[in-house]
Amino acid sequence: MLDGYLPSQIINALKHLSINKLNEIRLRVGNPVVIDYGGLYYLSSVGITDVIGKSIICTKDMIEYTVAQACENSIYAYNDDIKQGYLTIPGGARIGLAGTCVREGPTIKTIKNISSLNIRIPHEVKNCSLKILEFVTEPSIHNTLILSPPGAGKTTLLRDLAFQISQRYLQNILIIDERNEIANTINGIPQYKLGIFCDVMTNCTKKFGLENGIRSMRPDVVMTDEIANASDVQAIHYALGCGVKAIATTHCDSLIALKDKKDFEQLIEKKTFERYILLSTKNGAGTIEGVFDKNFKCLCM
Amino acid sequence: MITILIALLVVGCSSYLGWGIGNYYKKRVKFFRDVKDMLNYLINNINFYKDSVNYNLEKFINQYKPNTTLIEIVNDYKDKKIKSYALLKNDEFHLVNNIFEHLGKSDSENQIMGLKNFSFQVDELINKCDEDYNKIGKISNKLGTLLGITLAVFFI
Repeated sequence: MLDGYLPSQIINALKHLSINKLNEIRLRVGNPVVIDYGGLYYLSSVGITDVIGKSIICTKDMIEYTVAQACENSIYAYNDDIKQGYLTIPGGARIGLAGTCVREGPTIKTIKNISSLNIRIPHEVKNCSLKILEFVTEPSIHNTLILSPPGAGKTTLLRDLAFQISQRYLQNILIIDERNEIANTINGIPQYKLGIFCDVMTNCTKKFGLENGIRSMRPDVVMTDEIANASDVQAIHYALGCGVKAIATTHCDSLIALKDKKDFEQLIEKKTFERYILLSTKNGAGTIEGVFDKNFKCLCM
Repeated sequence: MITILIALLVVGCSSYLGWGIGNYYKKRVKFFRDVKDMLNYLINNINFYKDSVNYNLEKFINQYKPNTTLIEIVNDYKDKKIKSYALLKNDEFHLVNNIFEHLGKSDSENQIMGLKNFSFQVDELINKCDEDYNKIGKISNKLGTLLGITLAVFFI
């Protein structure tokens, strides 16, 4: 998945590791390459190490190479993503970017002098949603919000839910994949198995995707990742107002934290979501902390 | 008999030389016209679809079947090392090299602006190459044959 996107020194080191256990690679100019391999380690030329002196030190060239490859040497084609601070590469790995934002008035034109990359490796965990499927789909599909801190498996769970609902319940699902992480489409074709009843709109805002997608694709269920602000919440309201079911995710580590989110007040008050699924990394990514109903009553732990 | 054969050979060689010179100028015109087409193709595509450079170049080559030198330069670009070619003079090579160096390095607005600037420079080269072809290229075809015939007459 990462071949051709990372410098050969890092690729050669990664050959000593199992990609299935690799969750994250962090490149910071002048610092050791750090990986999440079921714990944080430095990357050395022969695999992982605890000793800084043996680690591979990230250079500016390494970062520039990675960004150029991820952009297919075509900044203009990816600048909208760069402005949002990420790039997605085939295979679904997301590269988070940190550097200097170039501003023009209130808008950001691009990010230059990129000094840190966070490469997150997605894992397709088949049937990971089976444990909670009945709570989401019985007796009928419920509007559901998946909550978890970053890296706890929201997107993986959402992807599998899309597959299961599509295959088992034959529902037309529209996935609004703003960052191309859920489906990882290449030339419009999803690289993950999403089921035969799934349609995917990528690279569009949730507002645009939900408003236009519902009109044009007539879905039974819409799915989207990472609701973050008032505009996203409004888009969800719009979808529900159209009589479509919604399954979404958001960054949040507890129900209390969710209640404190100002943009979500209306959603909670109106009991828009009938199910809340809380994930954590307690026993590894994807640990289900609980399934809750619209009154936050625990249905399953 | 041998004299006639040698005379024909002289005419053939001289005509071939003339044709070669003419063809060189013709190829240069075709090359820069193809570069212009490529720039227009990139401008339109980047403006609308924002496909990657390599994808655009591949599509351009498949659709337009440009001059082989341009195809070789595109392949060089993909291998990240553009060589100089006999068809191009030094300054022309620098311009072509600059065009490819510039590709994919900025947002769409600036990329399009840059390509349009290159396009104007290529227009000038097309005019110059057209003039050269009309002045030297076309005449060298005829002169080659004439020279051959003259030499053959002298020889006989």
